[in-house]
Amino acid sequence: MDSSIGIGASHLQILIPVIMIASALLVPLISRGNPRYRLPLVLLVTAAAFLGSVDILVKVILSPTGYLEYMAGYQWGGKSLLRTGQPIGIVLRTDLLGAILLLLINGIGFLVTLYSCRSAHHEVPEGKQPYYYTLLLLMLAGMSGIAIAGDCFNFYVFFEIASISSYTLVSISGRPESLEATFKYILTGALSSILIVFGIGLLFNATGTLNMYYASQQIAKIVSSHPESPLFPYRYLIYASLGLFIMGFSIKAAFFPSHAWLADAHPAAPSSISALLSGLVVKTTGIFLLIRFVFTVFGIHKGYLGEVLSVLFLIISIITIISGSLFAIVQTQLKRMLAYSTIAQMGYILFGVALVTPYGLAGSILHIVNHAIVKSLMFLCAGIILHKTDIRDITDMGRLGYRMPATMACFTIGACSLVGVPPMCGFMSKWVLATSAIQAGMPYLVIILLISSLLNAVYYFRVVAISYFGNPKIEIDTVDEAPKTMLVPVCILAVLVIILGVLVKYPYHAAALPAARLLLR
Amino acid sequence: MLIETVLSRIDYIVTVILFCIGLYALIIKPNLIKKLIGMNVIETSVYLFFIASADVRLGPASWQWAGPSEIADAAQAARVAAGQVALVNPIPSALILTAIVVSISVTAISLALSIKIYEHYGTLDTRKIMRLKG
Repeated sequence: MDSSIGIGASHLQILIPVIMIASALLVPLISRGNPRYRLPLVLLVTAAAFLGSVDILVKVILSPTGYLEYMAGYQWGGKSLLRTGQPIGIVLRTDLLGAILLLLINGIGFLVTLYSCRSAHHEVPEGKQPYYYTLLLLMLAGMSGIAIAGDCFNFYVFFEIASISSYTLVSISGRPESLEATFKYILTGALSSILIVFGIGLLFNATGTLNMYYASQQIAKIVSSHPESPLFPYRYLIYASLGLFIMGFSIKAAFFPSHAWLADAHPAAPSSISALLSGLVVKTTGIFLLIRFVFTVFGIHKGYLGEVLSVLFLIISIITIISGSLFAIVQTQLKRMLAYSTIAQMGYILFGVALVTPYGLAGSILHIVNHAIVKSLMFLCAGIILHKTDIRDITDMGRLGYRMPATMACFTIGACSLVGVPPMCGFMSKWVLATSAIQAGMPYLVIILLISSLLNAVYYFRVVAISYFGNPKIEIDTVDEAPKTMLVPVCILAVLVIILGVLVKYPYHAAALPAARLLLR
Repeated sequence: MLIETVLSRIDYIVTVILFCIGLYALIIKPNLIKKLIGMNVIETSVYLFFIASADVRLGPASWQWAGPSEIADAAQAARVAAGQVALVNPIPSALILTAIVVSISVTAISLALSIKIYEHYGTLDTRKIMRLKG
């Protein structure tokens, strides 16, 4: 067991979630004493986590193995108590995909915290504000933990930290529709976590370990075993476990048959939280863990079940893309439309995963990053519109573009990116996905991507057109631009959308493609 | 023969039965509290599965744990080698303790939420509450 890792980066991995959880518990205490120090503390912690994850990403890119490992817990002098020599204790392993996600989580987390300075006053009842920040930090800590977990059970603990805090955050405004939405969210979320625990149990029984990397070695041994070997029957446990994991993560990622909760829960939350839910939680607890288990742990690209699952994922992703887009077209509320659009975009990400090629997976990773940025941007813009005007319906947004030029300009940039207008980042990831579908020998799938882009254009450009050229239905003459703390995060995200689109080759070649290669090794 | 097989795996069979009962309650029952009970029954079935699988005699759940030669106490090692000791794998029990804590938190939140829903709507029947269209 090598634990000869440099001090800085390895401890940073565990320090990010630990400091976040500790300061989450400090926030209500500080609010009792002097609430003025609450915001600086939260901003400081999220900014520190962001800088830490930049450091981790750089160290992971530079490291020869492609990952950073950290052992938590007593090591019995480096001697293992198990026959196989595997370590006992909690292992954290940050690979390239995990490091990318960690940076994304903490970057967007910092910007959303900055945005919450003003929006939380408006959307969260006065007495609940300390708990809003506590839950926000816990959610970010849980997601950071998922990104760095190397252990089949500790990812589950972090998964539940992220899930439970997001359940509570959806209902924090106390409005009746948010209560209903939360109940739906909790029931589906609880079902998915039960399926995942069951999957962990079967995996543990089949492999005798919880460490993801030892488990993947055992699984490779079991699935390649001879029909007469004693290991052979365990493959049925492996299949059952894989099925349970896929079902559990598909519910969390809102793929087609189980997407209903997302369209209720995401619009019902405060806008800053909608941005985090749509931008990060769906990806971390859903598609990231699906990629992690399907490739890193179960290794379906190594042959067994690979083709079956590929076809299954393709069918689910196509239905998700088309149905999400169609549902989005008929929505009248802006935030509900954005939530359905999230469902469609999750289909895109699954599309790249289903190709099981390095380029397809790199396209998925790029789309995870792009969609996280763009969808946070759009939800934050919707939050500004709500904050200033209380407009929920798209048809009421007439001429809003002239009253709030910066907000609507950022919204338009985001809309162009999701539709796939060339210099924006959304075009780049769709391009990578389309070319990888052609490379994988399935050019007819590009038609699906094109149809979906067309549908995206229908519902996004409708909003843009109404906000610039529509007739105002309600009095908006007194409306002015949002306060700076809300506008700055939105503008940063909008600039990032363009930068990531223009300079896409650097993140693609430095991070996305190597991360995909590492997963498919 | 069949009865023996069934009896030796009775805990796994109970797991499956409990899981199905819980899933039925979670999906079909309109009352929110009954849905929560269903959720808890499913969780219990999974815990039962973990605890049952920790028993070494029924299966090689812990086939990677230290063998007789690695146990320091010679008499104990002989008993283990002769199969007289029922080892219990401690890991699943530890996991289940954590999972129980998680499920308690989820149940607590959902009960608090159902109080709020009852205060607002005066009923816990989902057919009357759920006005959101999926």
